Amino acid sequence: MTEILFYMLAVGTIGCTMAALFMPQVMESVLFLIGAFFNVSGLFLLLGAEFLAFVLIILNVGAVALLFLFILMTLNVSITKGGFYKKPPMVIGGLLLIEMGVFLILKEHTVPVLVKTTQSNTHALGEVLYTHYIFPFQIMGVILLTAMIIAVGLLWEKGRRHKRQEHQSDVKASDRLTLTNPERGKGIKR
Amino acid sequence: MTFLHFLILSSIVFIIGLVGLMMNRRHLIRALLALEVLFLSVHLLFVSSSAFLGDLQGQVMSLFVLGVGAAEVAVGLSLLVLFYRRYQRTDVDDIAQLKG
Repeated sequence: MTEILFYMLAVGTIGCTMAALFMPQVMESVLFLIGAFFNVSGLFLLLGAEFLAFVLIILNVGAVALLFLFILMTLNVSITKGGFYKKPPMVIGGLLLIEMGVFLILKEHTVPVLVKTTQSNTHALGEVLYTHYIFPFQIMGVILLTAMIIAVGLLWEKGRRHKRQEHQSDVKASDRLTLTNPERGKGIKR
Repeated sequence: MTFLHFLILSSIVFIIGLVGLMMNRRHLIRALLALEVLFLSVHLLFVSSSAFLGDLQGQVMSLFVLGVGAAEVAVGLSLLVLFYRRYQRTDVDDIAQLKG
């Protein structure tokens, strides 16, 4: 039964990557890339690497593909002329739905390949990561910080009006709020 | 389902990404997408070898590759935006100012 899942996910991965690289519109390419991420994450689940499967979805679909979409919308290049196509989202959604259905049907029969340990995958990964790989882990954080600083620094324009936080945080409660004790029947005169 | 299956799948995805990178190298966004596909195949290779060899260090390496890939995409897309701001297009062939 695992073979069925493997071949289904493998065909999905190959088809989605090919579609991602050779579709005429870049927007559709990004959508198919998301489909490929989901398929590979299903393969990770088959392999027993649950943590990486979900991190792949959260990070690559939630951050990287979304970044691509943001950039595409910002740049206003190569968007489809006749409106957004309906077909690719339907194709990807149908594919993922079918795969989920097969996963649900075959759930009792699947056996993860790895995981002969008693603890969960996340627990084992955390133990390895925080005992043997603590310094590379920290260095990865520094790399991400550097990338963030580089991205902000590259796109910073000197003359342009950037939105800042200072003026907002300068306002105190006493600037906007006055407490009065009005006399009876007279109200407040401003 | 053996290790060989995963090796073949990962190399197929890698080759698809490489061919896509070569065919779309003029278009910067598509080149970055092809790089993502290459990263995906590397993830597949790391995780499958980690699972079949019974060693968790492959998954740790995959996690590091994930972080570096995110950093690469951020810097690459900011370069793309910078380039588009200056030239109003995204063809790589137009970056020819340093050609002597």
